[in-house]
Amino acid sequence: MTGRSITVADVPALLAGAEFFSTNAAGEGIEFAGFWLEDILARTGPVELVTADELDPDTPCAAVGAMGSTVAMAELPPSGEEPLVLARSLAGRFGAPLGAIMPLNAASVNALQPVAAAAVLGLPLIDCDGMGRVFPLIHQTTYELAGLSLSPLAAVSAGNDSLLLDTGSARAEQIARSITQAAGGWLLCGMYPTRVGRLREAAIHGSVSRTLKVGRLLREHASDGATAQALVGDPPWGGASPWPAHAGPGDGEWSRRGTAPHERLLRDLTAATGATVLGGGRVVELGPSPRQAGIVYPGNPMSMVVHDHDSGRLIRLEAHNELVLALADGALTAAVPDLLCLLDRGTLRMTGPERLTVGDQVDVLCVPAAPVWHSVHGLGLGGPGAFGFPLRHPRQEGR
Amino acid sequence: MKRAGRPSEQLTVDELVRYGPLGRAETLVGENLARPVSRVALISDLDQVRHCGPGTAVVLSRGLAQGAWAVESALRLAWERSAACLVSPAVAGLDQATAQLARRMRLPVFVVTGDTAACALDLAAAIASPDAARARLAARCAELFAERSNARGIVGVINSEVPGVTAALVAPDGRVLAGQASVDRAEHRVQVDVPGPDGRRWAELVAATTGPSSPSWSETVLLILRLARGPLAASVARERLEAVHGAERGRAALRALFASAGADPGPAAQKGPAGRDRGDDGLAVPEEALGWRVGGRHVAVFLRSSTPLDTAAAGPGVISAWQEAVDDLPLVPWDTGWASWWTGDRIEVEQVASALRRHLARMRSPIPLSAGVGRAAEGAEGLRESLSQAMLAAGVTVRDGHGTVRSFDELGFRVLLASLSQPELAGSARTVLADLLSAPDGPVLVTTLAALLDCANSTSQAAARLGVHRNTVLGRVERIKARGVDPDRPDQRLALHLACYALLPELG
Amino acid sequence: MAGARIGVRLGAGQARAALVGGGRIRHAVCRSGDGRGLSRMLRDLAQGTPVRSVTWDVSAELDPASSGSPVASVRVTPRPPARGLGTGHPSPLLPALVRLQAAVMGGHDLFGVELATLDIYEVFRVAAAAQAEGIGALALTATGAVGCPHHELTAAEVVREAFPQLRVSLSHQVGGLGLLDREAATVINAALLSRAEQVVARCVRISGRLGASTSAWFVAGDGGRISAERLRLLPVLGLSATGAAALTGAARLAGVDDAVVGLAGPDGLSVGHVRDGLPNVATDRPGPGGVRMAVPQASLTPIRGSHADTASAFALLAEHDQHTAVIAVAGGGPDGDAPDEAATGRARSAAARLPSTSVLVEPPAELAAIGAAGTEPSAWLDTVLYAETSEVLARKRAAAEQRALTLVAESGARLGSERVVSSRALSLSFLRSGSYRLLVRAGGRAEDDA
Repeated sequence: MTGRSITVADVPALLAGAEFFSTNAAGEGIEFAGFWLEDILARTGPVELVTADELDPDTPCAAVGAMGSTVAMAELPPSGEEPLVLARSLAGRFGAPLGAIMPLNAASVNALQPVAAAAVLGLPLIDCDGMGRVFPLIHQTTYELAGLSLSPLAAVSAGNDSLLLDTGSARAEQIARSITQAAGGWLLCGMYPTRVGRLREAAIHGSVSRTLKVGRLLREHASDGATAQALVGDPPWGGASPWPAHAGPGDGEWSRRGTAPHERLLRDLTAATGATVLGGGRVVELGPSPRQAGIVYPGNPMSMVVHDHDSGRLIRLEAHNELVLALADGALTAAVPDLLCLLDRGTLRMTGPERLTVGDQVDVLCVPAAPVWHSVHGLGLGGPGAFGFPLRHPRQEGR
Repeated sequence: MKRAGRPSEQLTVDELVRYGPLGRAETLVGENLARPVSRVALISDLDQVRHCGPGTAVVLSRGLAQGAWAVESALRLAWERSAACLVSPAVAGLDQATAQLARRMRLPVFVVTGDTAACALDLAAAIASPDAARARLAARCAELFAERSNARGIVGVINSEVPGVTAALVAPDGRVLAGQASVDRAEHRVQVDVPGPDGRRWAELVAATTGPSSPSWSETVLLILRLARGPLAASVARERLEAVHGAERGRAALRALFASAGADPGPAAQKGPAGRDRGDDGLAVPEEALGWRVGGRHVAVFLRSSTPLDTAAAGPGVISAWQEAVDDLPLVPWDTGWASWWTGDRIEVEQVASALRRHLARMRSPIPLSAGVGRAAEGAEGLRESLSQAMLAAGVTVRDGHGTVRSFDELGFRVLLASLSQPELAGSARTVLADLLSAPDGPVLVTTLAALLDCANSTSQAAARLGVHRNTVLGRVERIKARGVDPDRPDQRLALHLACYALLPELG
Repeated sequence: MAGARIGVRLGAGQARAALVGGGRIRHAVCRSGDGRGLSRMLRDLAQGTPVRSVTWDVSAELDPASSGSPVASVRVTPRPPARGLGTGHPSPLLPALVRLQAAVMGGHDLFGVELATLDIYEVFRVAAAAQAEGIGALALTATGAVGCPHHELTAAEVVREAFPQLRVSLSHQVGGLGLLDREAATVINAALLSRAEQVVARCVRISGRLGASTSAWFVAGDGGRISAERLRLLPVLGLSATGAAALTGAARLAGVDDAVVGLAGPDGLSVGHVRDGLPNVATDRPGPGGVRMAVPQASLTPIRGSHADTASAFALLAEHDQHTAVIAVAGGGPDGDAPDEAATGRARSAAARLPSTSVLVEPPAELAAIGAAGTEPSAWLDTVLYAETSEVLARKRAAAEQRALTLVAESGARLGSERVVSSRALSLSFLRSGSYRLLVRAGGRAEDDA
């Protein structure tokens, strides 16, 4: 698998895949990070994507990821210098420079940050991650499950403050979280410093390529529209073109082929990710959920109900930054750590409760999490109970 | 879900709503309420629902209901276990989708604002002794029936205390004597006969139940109606006695009042049934004891009926109907009818007349009534005079049918003519006008003659009053003259006029 | 009824005008370059009826690629980008407009906390360099300016004092959250300042010839209308106005406030939504040159293909929408007098597939011009606020809504007609609870509305 690299041309697919695996609920645009990464890769050249096996097991490596608000990051993108600060801090602790970077999680904006870090540092990026999705806390990782230590945690803030935290995983999370708010809304972190050899057990392998693959799929469906647009040209009223030069996904032709476009996309997505479609139809209810927002789980809980068009079932989704669980007619059918995703039938884009209104049409997908997440420890760290739901994961039924 | 052989003492969800602890809960979904409830389970962990048996009332503890998702999960599990109903604390976000789900599962859902644990305890108590729950409601009603003195109050107890039931006391002719008139239209009804003072059926007590019918609930309602029957019969007898007794006291007091002010009013008082009354007991009740105001300005009214009924027989019915419509004024049997009066410094005749018209329209009198209104006057003497005038006016209105009210002033001297309708005068008139009466259309000719004389021999005015064409009147005048009666002869006009008036009442 | 309203769309060398009033619509076309011809056209259109307002769609006149002037772009952040990383823009339009790019220390975080002191000396040096290079306009974009514009205002003051002839665009006046998008919008805005000056002056002059009581307004990309002063300062708001005006016009002619609208052109159908008389807007729509600008624009989704294709696609959309479906013929024929036949055919074939409750609009004048005549004042806000309790949130939210209503009033809304069309407070993920992004849209009825 040598010779693979991530180039400027891969960024749109990486972005689309990152959106898919973000499990939707965060709801804030990460497109800015695409432009930002494209510009960085244009200046630094491509990033080498390697598997853990391809590297010397003794190579020092660390996970890179951001915590905090994507809105804050869109308002103040990283300067590009942060990875250098992180690498310097961690190298000091290792006594040797980092030889590779791995993603904290290859989803949402954190699918792009490690790529930028690897580019800036001139290091290879290991094709793996520690979540396979987005979790709200930086210690909800398979790295943690495998016994890797989160700290020392190196961090650089939006306001360019830098720190090195040496403490336990849960405390590191708590302290870093409060610093995030005070220091401008986001932190870029280097953590889980380890040797590549330990990743064999501790990481979810192939995560970055999976994100790219799903992203390419989403782009292909989107590009139907772009091609069709290129054929046509001017808007009805002539003059300067208000048509987008880059068509958004879903601006496509609706009826060229027999099946509805969202059905074709769903078919391809389930084939690529092993996902199941829980149902699809109109959003009939949407609003804040009365669950108390915990201190370690900031954000507003939301609840929404989708009326499944085919079966007539009511699918209730509970969200807390991410989509946490799905009940069909009151029966728990899917829950964290498995990924719940919402596809907006109108735009053919991944979506979330914040971007939807009652009456919109969506499909609900469930992508199974990596097997390690279904272990007793995995469910303890990332299952419904970890999100404050006193429910047994569907896989625990009958245990 | 109704199973054969269900022990009859088990309460249904419906009963728990009607008189059990769920009556205070908000009903989110009220379907399938006929299920019997076998036990109660207070749930603090969703897994506990899995251990509930069929027919359980599942109550969610406050800590569990963290949102609609938790309620829906519990709902689903409860449905799988064939639970009887689900009780949830009030949770934000519990909305249409949850209700829709429950409706599809046909599982009743109730929302309690307070502590659900307390609700669970109450439910458990009710379910443990279902007869006690039914008996408690009946006992409470019986207690309240005993405290009420009239039919209205007794029926009111049923309407206010028994949830989902409206009751009315209905006379055999369909008239609603007390309670809600709407019971007549209800689908599910339960009824019992109520005996009058004579022991025969006097009225029916009818209760309408809302919602789906349930045999055990109907039984409970029937029991409550039976409990009401005794107090109702007693109250009716009491009310009649009180009406009659009250009326007699009133007559005696009024007579005493007039005696102290001078002579009895009007010649009529010396004749007819009133004449007999004088000797009855001679009891003089001070008017103050009856709450009357004697001083000040009065306007008297007099009610009478065209029905030749003894005032004593119709009296209680008229008086209780009057009291129902006008509860602050006395109605005293007097002469051939009933007297009353308005008192006040600014009281005017027109005001009284229109008030009286309204009252007559509202009164559920057993016989048709019309009335006359006297002039306004001061003190006891004035009242006596005013009453005399009212009686004269009533003599005119009695011919115009039920509900007519006219004042003495409005009628002018015609009241005098009307008051002449006495048996002797009528006999003479029949003789004098025998020729005219013997004509095939004799009564018509007499009526026409009276109208013509009323109108100073103007045929066009008389035609207008009679509602016929002037030519018709001219033709009748020709026939009248042909029978030897000449209305133009001044020396005969007054006699003719009197004769006509004497005959008019019997010509109808 | 006292007076009519005129809408004019300038574009492709033509001016297409519509007079709306007294239940009638008249239309006229002339060459757009001919000022006297334009005045004459408007006079003829009025036929002596008093005209209360003329609203111009000038988006075609404000093409940054052809009529933008060079700009100096200044980004204010707490630290300069390392090796220029992340400062580029994928669209070729921006590098073409930006003659000089500079980074200056300063900025605030989302909650208004200062991240670094503003380096006013550097601001001065950049302005001096811009002046020296003959650049006429400066685009100032400070991080966090949407929540706290203090650094942008200070920098602008420094520039104005020292270099009064340099025009300055401030990002917090231009767009919402998102530094890169807002910076792009600010650059485009700065590039269009001098062009906008000319266009606005001309439109105001021509409108004024109809009489002293005739006011001049401009259609904004969100479907609202703005004053001459506002467009002069913020030309970026006038971009992509044609689609918004057409959506508004279609809903008006259909007589509905809420609709899913298909605008039929010769080559395709574009679909938008109208709520409460205003087009649905988004801030992530690509603008000129594909540049996303963090400025609200009417959302239009194009559907291409044969008449049958677009008809069935729209029928599918309409079926899933609870509001009235409206199909409108957009754009006039080449001479502007007769409606475009291909567009009309497309519209009719689409309408044939719809249920009877839907409306087919075949406008008696150009749809965008009719829409322009009927535009109403509107305003839009995108900001972040921090509130620990719901009371504080309600108070801060009410203050923001009041600010939007004030903007509406400034755009000529009749007193008391201002209303909040939508107000959404979205909690920010992964931050302490109490951090909200607030999006407010407000509208009003125009003062000259009959």
